[in-house]
Amino acid sequence: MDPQILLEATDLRVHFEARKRGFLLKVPYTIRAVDGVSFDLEAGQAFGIVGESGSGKTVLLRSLIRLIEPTSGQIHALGENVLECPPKVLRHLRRHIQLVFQNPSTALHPRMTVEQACAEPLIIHGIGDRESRRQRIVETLEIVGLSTDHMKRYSHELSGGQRQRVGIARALVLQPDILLCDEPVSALDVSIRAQVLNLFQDLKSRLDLTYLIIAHDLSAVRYLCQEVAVMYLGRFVEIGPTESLYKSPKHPYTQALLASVPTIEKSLSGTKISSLPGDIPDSRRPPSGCPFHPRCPYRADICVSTRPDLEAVAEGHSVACHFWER
Amino acid sequence: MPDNAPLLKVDGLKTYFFLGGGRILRAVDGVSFRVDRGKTLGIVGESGSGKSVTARSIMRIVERPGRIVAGKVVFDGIDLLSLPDMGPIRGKRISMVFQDPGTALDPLFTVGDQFLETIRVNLKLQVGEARRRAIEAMAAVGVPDPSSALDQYPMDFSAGMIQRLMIGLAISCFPDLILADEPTTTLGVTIQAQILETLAGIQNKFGMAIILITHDFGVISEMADDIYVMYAGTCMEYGSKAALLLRPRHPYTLGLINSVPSIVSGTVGRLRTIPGFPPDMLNLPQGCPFSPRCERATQECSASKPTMTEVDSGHWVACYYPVQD
Repeated sequence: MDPQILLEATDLRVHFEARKRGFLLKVPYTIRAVDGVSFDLEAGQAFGIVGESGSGKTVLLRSLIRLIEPTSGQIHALGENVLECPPKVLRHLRRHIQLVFQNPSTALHPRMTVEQACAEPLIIHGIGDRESRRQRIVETLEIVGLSTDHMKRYSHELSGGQRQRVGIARALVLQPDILLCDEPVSALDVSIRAQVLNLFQDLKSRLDLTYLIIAHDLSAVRYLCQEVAVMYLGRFVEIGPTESLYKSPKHPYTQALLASVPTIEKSLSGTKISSLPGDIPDSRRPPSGCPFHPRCPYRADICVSTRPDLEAVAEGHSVACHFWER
Repeated sequence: MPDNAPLLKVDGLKTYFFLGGGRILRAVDGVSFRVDRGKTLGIVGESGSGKSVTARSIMRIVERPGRIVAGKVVFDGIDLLSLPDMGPIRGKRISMVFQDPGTALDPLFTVGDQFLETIRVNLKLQVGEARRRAIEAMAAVGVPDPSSALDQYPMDFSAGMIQRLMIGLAISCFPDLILADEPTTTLGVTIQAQILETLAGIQNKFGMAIILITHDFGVISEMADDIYVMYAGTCMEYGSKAALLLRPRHPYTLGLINSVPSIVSGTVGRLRTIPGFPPDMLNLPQGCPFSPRCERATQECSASKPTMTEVDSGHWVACYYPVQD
């Protein structure tokens, strides 16, 4: 593996077996939450995955450190084979690959002070003694813009933005290489969201971090990430450099996502948003062929029968659509 | 009544929450605006700014320990706050669409039960006619196959479809005004676009006025005719959409607009942010509530609260030092 690649997922699949009540018997069926996803995470980069709820992005993120066990595929991270390594190595990996959660109000234990919440990961990984842990927590809180005054406070004594900073500090205290961020700003108010976006930007260069960020907020992903993948029903339908993907989106779903976000700029230039018909299909009964075909304005017979693979359309930019050249 | 009279006029509305121990949370503290027939007023603000409580005050569904303590709400010439019974107004002439589609309908009753109850109570119709009315309303908001949808339960629908149903329910009794409180916040972007188009479509077709409450300046700029910016229970800026977007005069409005990274052209470098934290509503500063976070604030701002001043025709700002161009 290229030493610049910190994490590599190949043909990753996460399927859930479930049963629904049928006539007399329960009928088994499979939900393909993640269904054949491949990508690289390059050192020092921020990779974004956008998709609506139900696209499988959270399951994908969690499966990378086996919080949800993948069904098949390969994951290599920091020189280790994640899916076949012994528990000790997995623990080591999880120390270096940390998660930042979406909702800071529920991610922190209500009966733990900020200091206790930040000390917990250090204790679990057996790092330092009481004094050196305290020192490291003080330093980390300073990095995320909190002061020692906050250490004795409980979650409910903090504002939403401060809680998310604690969530980030908790991940950073282990000095990870990779941060996996699940909707890191979507629960925050607009004025606080910008502060936290800036913080992510600062931390990246200051601590030499690599990010994988999943979000439905297309503007935040554009701001933070160098590369973006668009996920739909468990698969990437388009992946490419941020500039290229936002400036000339090729997949009809990517185009629809970008066209459906209302913005001040669009309003001032008189552009109306346009919406896509239909809903994300039920993942228990995914459509045949291209998963997007029931909502696609350009569908043809081949889209109903044959699933398109990702194909390169430009340097580093791939699209899974039969008619991307249209 | 002259034609140019507003459909709704809110004047000096104050809704306080009496929390015990003498603590008073001034959730809405002097709110005034008007909504004309067929127009959309967008109320924008962050959490805790009082925008939902404003809507609930208009409907008179503020929960205890909250109480409307002052102000006037005049709807089509009727003084709502002195009305003995809101029954003839609520759900019929003014209806509401709530934020969370997951909890808005009762899971134990079919969609039809819930529609027909509303329609029969408000319009005094027989079952058959009420059913026809429900089907019309559902078709107007784009619910596929409305007559069989009536016999289904809320769990049979996706979140986006439930929000459509809620809008259908809201228009089913031909209201003059819809209060939509963050109607798209919990939805994905493509579903949000569908719901916004549905709202705009029914407004075109039936000519009702809408008060749209949101924290998302993008949604406001897509939908609103006028914009009302709230912070800590009071208004910071009020005017036409064009005026507020092109020439925001309050530092808070400008800060909100600047803090969203661009999706169209991309934002490089640091985002311009509003420093500091949202206000503690139980411990507000004496003067302008935004002054602790405002770069332009002086002693005057922390000493006394600025009143709304008309800076341009129809463009009002509560600031001692409004932003010039």
